[in-house]
Amino acid sequence: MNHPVPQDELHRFLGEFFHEIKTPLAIMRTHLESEVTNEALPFPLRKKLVQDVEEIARINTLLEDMKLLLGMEKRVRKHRFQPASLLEVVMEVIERLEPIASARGQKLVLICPENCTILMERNKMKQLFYNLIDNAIKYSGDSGAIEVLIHCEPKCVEVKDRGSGIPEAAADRIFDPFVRVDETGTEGSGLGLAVARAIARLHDGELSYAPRPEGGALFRVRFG
Amino acid sequence: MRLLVVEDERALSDNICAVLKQNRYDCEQAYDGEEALDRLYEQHFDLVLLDIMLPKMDGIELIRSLREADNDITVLMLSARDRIEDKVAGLDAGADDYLAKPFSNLELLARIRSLLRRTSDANRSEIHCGNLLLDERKQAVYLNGDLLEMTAKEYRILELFMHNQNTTFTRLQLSEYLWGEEGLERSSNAIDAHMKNLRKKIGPEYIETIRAIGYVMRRRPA
Repeated sequence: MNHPVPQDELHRFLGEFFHEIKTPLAIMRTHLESEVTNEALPFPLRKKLVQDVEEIARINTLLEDMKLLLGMEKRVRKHRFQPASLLEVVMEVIERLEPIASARGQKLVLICPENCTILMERNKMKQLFYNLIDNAIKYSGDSGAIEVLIHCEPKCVEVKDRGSGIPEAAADRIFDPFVRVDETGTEGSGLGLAVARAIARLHDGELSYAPRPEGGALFRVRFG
Repeated sequence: MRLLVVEDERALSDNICAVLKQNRYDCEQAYDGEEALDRLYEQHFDLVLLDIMLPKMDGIELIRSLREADNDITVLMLSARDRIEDKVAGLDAGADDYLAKPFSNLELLARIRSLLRRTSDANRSEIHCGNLLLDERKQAVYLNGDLLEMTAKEYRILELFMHNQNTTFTRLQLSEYLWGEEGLERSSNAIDAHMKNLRKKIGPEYIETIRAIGYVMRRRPA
């Protein structure tokens, strides 16, 4: 292209593009899902279909993540912000991840001396904390402790683990999309922290990382 | 229950109808807005699944003309355009609920059930499986006549299985059913923990694990 495309136009174009991808995905998904339940089909085939549906869901998640990372949601999202309690949202995420942590012998500890409300889009906020706590679980090794702290003056949430932390040389790249510091083959798209930061910024907040003096990682989301 | 599916992508429309029929709903199809409007004036339907982008007359316009004519049929909007403007426009025009594509069959069915429940409490009933009884009016579960203590999530899972006996659900479906949010990692094994707890309460025999696929509740004589 010879001329730079105005951002609004680009976003409209991408919006249509995502729409065009999502429709065939929807068709494939309903089709595959109705076959998964078909007990007349051979078991190995059904097993593959289950995996295919999961892959489709993953593409859809990627598309949603890309919208956030490209800033396509910025103008529209604000309209659906509602006041909600930080504690409540964090608790919902912990309730969901707790079984995974305890299966690995890890402890998830929530410390909340005071609670506060902020304007948020609840599902996106849950995704932010989910990404942070899920990372802490993945990189903590067995039987580690993960602490989640909620403060109100200023409003912030911290997720601390006692894992291997992040190598100093990589620390300033961890929020870049598709950057994966870990090379041990832990599952992930490399978008988790980039998306978390985009969600924090959508809420006029900031996500930062600091190594813990005693070892491990500290992620802090501070709201404006 | 009679449903009208208004969707111009024929493959998707056929799939939705197949799923609805599997779940014992009557399903009719219309492929553009004008055809849909004609059908809705001629015949009785309990619920309409309505795509927004349609040839001839779009979904929003269609809802508006229905509401202007005092037709209060339940409308569930379907659209890949999960932009806030579209949702707002649809709901403002008089739609009852909104589902963004791609959706899981399970979520579609749950929304339909919930919308139909809103319109008639008569859908609520007692469901049996062997010695298990789920009373939807009281939201209570009994095993051999004894009331079981359940968490809200366990009740919702059990309700789903009781309604869909002999249907296999994948972990992804169950986790979207329980938590629903877009964008979270979904293939988590948090579902397994809930299933384990549920089985401790109702006994191991009612819900079967299909390895690498999911879970199923087999129909049993009461």
